[in-house]
Amino acid sequence: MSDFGSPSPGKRKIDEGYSPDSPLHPTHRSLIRAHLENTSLGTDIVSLRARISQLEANLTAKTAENARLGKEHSEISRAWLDVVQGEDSVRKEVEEEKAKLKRSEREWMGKLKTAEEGRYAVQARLEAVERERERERGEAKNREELVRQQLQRSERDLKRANEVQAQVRALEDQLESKERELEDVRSLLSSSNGSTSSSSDHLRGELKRQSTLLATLEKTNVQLSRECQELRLRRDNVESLEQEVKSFAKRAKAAEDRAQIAMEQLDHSRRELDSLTMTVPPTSDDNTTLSISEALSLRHKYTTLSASHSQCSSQIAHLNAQNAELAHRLGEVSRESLTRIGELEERLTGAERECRWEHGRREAVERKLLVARKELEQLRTAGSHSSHGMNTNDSQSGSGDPSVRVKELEEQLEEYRGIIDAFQQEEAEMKDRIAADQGWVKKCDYEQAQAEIRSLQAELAEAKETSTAQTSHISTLERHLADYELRVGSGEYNTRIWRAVEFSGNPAAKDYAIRKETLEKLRGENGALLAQIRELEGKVAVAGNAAAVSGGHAGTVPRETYDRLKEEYEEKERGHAKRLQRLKEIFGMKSKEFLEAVFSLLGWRIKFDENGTDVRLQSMYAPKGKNGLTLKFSSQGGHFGTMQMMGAMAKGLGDVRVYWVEQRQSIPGFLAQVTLEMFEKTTFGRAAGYVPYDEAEE
Amino acid sequence: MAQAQATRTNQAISLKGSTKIVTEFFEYSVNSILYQRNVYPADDFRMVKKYGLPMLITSDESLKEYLGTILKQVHEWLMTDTINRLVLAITSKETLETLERWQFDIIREDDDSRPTSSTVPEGTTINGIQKDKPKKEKTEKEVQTEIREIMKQITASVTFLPTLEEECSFTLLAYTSTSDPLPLPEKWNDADPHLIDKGKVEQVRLRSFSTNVHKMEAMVAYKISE
Repeated sequence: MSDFGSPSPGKRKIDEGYSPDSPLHPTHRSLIRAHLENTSLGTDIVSLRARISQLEANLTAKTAENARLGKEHSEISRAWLDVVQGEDSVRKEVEEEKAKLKRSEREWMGKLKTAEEGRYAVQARLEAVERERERERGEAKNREELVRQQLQRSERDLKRANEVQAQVRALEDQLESKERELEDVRSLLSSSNGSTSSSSDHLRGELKRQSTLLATLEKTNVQLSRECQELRLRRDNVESLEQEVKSFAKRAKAAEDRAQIAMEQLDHSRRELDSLTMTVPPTSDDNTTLSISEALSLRHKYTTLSASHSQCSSQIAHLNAQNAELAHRLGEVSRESLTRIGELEERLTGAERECRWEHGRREAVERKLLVARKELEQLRTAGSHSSHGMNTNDSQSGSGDPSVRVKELEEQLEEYRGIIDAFQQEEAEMKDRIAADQGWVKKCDYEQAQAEIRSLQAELAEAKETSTAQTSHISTLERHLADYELRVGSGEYNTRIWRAVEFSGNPAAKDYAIRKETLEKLRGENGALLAQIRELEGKVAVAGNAAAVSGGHAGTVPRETYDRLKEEYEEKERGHAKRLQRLKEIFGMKSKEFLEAVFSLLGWRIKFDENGTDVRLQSMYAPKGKNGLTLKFSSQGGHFGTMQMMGAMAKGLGDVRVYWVEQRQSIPGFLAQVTLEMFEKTTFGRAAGYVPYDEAEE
Repeated sequence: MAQAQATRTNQAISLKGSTKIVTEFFEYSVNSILYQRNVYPADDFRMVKKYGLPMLITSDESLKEYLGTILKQVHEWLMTDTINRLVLAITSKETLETLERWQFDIIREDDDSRPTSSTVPEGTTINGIQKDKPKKEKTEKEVQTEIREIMKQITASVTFLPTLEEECSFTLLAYTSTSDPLPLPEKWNDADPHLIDKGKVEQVRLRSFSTNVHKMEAMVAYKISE
């Protein structure tokens, strides 16, 4: 089944990430950015206008001052003329100077005028650029609106495509269920040849349902075809939009060119202004301070004008940059719209394919329905015949039924053949359609899939062969490996690279030597015994039976046997001694461990005297030697014995002895209290932070 | 002291250290086998703690002397990289037939040029360990843990090995390299390889351990009863 109406994976991810209404959507973000830039540009323009008005005011003030200075100059010159009235030559000179000054003034005024004209031209250009920007902003807004509409439209398309897909799925499910029902009906019909009225009702109901299904399918088909037409219209719209975007891009480029030309003109005028400032003629005479001051003021004016000019040019450059950015954005928007157009085209193709698919399915269902109807009709007629026959005459129906039935069956067979032919024809048409790329799948995809199937089949066969060969090879190798491992296990080795050596005095060799020696001895013993038997037999033969009997048992055991038995006995004795020694060692070690454990746990070191009757105890906490404490217990058996306390520390334990030993008859209790007292009295207790009771009282 | 111990256990193992570990392993494993397989009476063994396990060591003077001689020579051969395999062969005193072979293959891990002891080809795995894998530096503690596992296996092998009903003796065979022949020490001779009949042998591979200098692969082969 084709992926109808589903967006590309990347796009779907973005759409799922941000909804179109979300401010984080890329289009919204770009719009917000454009708004912000427009706002900043507006503020810039306002500030520029304010600055221009300020400059104009300054210019007016300067012109007024200039006029005032000219007036003052004329007054001063008049005064000067009055002063030097008497001297004609001087007057003439003054007149000449005056004329010169006037000329220079005129010149400067002309230059000022041209500069003003230049400023006006720059201002006009600035206004033109502003207008251009306004126009571009409007265009951008329009484009934005268009893109937004396009986006909304594509969203709607997507939703609709999803709906169509869901509908298609539902219809498929319905179709499957209907097919199943139809199959059931057929089976029912075939099983109950002599059909009853209830089954015919059921069939009628089934037929009705099929017809309703067909009607719904037709409706869906009509709806799908309508949607298809709508989608086509949208595609046309998208193409027109694309053309509009292209025309916008061309216009933006033209505006850019115009801005570039304006910039060049501005640079040209600026250069002219610079040349004017640089080629200002020096003042006529040092004596004429007025002309110098005028010239200075004019120069100052030119400087301010040139500064404002440069500012204007920088503004124009800024506007140009904005213009370029807008053009860049326009390009991005056009690219985005192109990708969207591509997606929409893909969706359209998919929708068309789906439509074809649905159409094909509808036709198949219609055909099946037709067959079902025919079958129903035949069954009905068969049912009426049978019922009629049963009602009228059994013998007649019995004789007429087979030929009619055969005829009906033949008709049915013909119909089925016709259906099969129709199916085959349809299949051939489908192949043709696929060849013409009008099928349910793309032709190239179909061919590619076919080629892939062939190649995969070939690969599968090859892989199977390789697998079989590898399996047999592996089993052979495993057999070899098992064999080699057995050889290694049995002790085989490569004699070329390895050499097996052993120590000559190894136990096996020793045992073998001993065994050999024993065998030799036994052989010798056997030989001696045989010799003795022979000797005895000889003696018997010589001395007779009586003497032989009186010879008795003396000397019947050979010396070798005696020696062997002696050796065996000695060997056994050595073994026993060795074992005893070992047991003694173990016992010593164990008893030492035991005593150490008692000393650690109970705090008393126990020493047994050699006679085994006396036991001496020494406390862990008592000092060693005479200053300490030793308890000696002696017993002659049973539970009774004596206890002797020795050492300097025994003196203070009389009460404890009386209390525990004499009154309560408990040695463990006595030992426990003695341990506690030793701990308290000795440095152990003090080191552990114990303060005796009497010392604490003091 | 504890810190020094920790430092020692965290260090990488040198050739000398590895040789000592391997020799010690031989000593304890041979003693353990002789005890477990009842080659010497149980009374002849005393218990010591090693590798975190109670191990049995012989008290028999002659056996101690023999093992001492062998292990001293094995130590020398390990240092000179001459020994490839050590085999403890248990033989019947009566028939002189080899009943069990405890085989310990020694592979020098930092030397790839020499032929390996195993018949397994290069590049494949031995006991699940890739030969060409980059090695991780091991500490003595890790090695001891591996040895402990082998010792446990040796002890547990009594469960599947056939009972030795006749009196047995043993010998230790050393397999040395012929590529660099050194003169044999005194009282060392060429030995019978103590083969078990191929049709009557079964074998079980035991765990292995590695010190990053030497790798020890253990195996027991035994004659199956007819």
